Amino acid sequence: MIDIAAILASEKAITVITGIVTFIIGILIIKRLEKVFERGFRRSMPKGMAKSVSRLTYYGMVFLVSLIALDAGGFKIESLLLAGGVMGVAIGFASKTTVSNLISGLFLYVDRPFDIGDSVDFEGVGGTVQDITPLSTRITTWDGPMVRVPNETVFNSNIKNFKKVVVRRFEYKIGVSYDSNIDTAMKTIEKVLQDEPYVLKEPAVSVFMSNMLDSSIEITVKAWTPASKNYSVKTQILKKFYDALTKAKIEIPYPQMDVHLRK
Amino acid sequence: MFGKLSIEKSHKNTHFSVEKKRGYFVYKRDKKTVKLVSKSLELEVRPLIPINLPDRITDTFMVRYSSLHIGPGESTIVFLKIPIEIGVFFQGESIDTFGFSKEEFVLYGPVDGGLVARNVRGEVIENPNEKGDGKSAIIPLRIKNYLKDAVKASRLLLNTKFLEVYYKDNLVATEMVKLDLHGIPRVRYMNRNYFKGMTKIKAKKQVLKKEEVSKMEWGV
Repeated sequence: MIDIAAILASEKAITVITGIVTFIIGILIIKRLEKVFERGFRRSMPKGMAKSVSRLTYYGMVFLVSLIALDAGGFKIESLLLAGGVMGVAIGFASKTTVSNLISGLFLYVDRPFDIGDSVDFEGVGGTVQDITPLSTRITTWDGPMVRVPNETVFNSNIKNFKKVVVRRFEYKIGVSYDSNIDTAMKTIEKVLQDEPYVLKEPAVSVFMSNMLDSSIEITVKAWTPASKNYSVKTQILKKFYDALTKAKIEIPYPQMDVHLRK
Repeated sequence: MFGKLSIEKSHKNTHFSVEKKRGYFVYKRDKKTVKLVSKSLELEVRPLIPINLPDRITDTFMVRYSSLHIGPGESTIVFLKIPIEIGVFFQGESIDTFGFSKEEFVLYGPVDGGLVARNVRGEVIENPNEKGDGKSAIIPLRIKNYLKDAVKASRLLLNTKFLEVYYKDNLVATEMVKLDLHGIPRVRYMNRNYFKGMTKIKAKKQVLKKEEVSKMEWGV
C-alpha cells in the first residue's frame, strides 16, 4: 500500500531542502560579488562611500536571495511581501532623516563640492575632510576632534572649500586716534605689509581710511596671500601692525566720550 | 665658488665658514650654525633658482624686467640677469640656503584659476660678464613676435621643473629660453646652454614633451 502521507512529507522535505540549498548557494555567490562591487565602486567613489554602497547592495541582494529561497522552499511569499509592504511604510516614516541624508550624500557625490583631504568650512564647522559616507561627512576640525556632520546638513550649508583656491584675502580694521597723523599711520601699515614676504605684491594691498568713528579713525587693510600661508600671516601680522604703529607713536585709542557741562 | 668643496681643517669664503672641532665640523653663516659629524668633510655649493626662501611654496617664478617693445615679425636675443639663491649640501642633504633678493610673491592670472609665482626682479643686459659674480644668473632669452602688432614685454614666467641650470666658477646661467609671442604667448625650454664649458647641475628635471610648452595666457 502506498503511504501517501509519507510521500507528501518527503516531497515537502525536498522542497524545504531545495529552499535551504538555494539560500546557501545564493549567499556564497553574493559574498564573492560583494568584494567585486566594492572594488568597482572604489574606482569612482570615496573609500567610505564605496564601502557603504557595496554593503547596501549586499543587503539588497541578501533580501532578494531570501525571497527566491523562500519561494523555492514552498513558502507563499505574496503574504510576506504584503506584510513587508506595510512594514516598509512604517519604516519609511521612521527613517525619513536617514533617507534624506542618503539622498543628500548622493547629491554631494554628484556635485562634488569637496574631496577627501580638502580643507572646508560648513557654516562654522571647519576642518579637513576625512571621509564621505552615504549618511555623513567626517571632518577633523582645526582643533583636533573628529566631527560627524549629517550629509543633509552639509548639502544645505554654504560650503567654503579652501583647497580649491590658490590665494586668499585677509582683512583688518584698525582704529587710530584723531590726534594721530593718518598718512603716517597708513604708510606704517603699508610698510609692514611690504616687509611680509607672503603678502602678495599682486593683487596689490589695499589700505584706506574707511570710517570716522566716535573715538577713532578707522583704517581698513586688505591683502592677499597664498592660500597655504593665509592662516600664519593673518595670525602674525596684527601684532606687527601694533608694534609698528606703537613705534611710530600712532595712538590706538580706547572708546571715549567728551562731556561738556553748561552752567 | 660653486661645486664640491673638500675641507680638511677649515674653510672661509665671503658667505660662510667651516671649522674642524674635536670629532665634528662646525658650519657657520650669520647666526646659523650646523654641526656636521664626518672625518673629512665634503660640501657641495650649488646655485639655485630663487624659489626656496622663505619656503618653497611654488615651482614657478616671474622675472620682471624693464619693458621691451618688439615690432611685428621681429626677433632678438636678450640676457636677463636675476639674483640667485645658494644651497649648501652635505651628503646630498641641504644644510643651508641663502639668497640675495627680496622674498616676494605675486599672483599671475585671476584669483580663481591663476597661480602663485615667486617675484624676481631682473635686469636686461647687453653683454653678460662671462666671469659672473656668484650672486646672479643669466637667462638667455630669445623673443620672437609672430603677431602683426608690436608687443610690450616686461615679464617672463618660468617653471623650475623644466629649467636647466649651469655653472662655471662664478658664472651661473640657465638654459636658453624662447618666448614666442602668439595670441597666447608660449615659453619654450630649448635644452641648450648659451655659454661654453659649463657644468650642468644634476637635478631631477621634468622634460616637456615636444608639443608641450608653458603658456603665458595672462600676458607678458
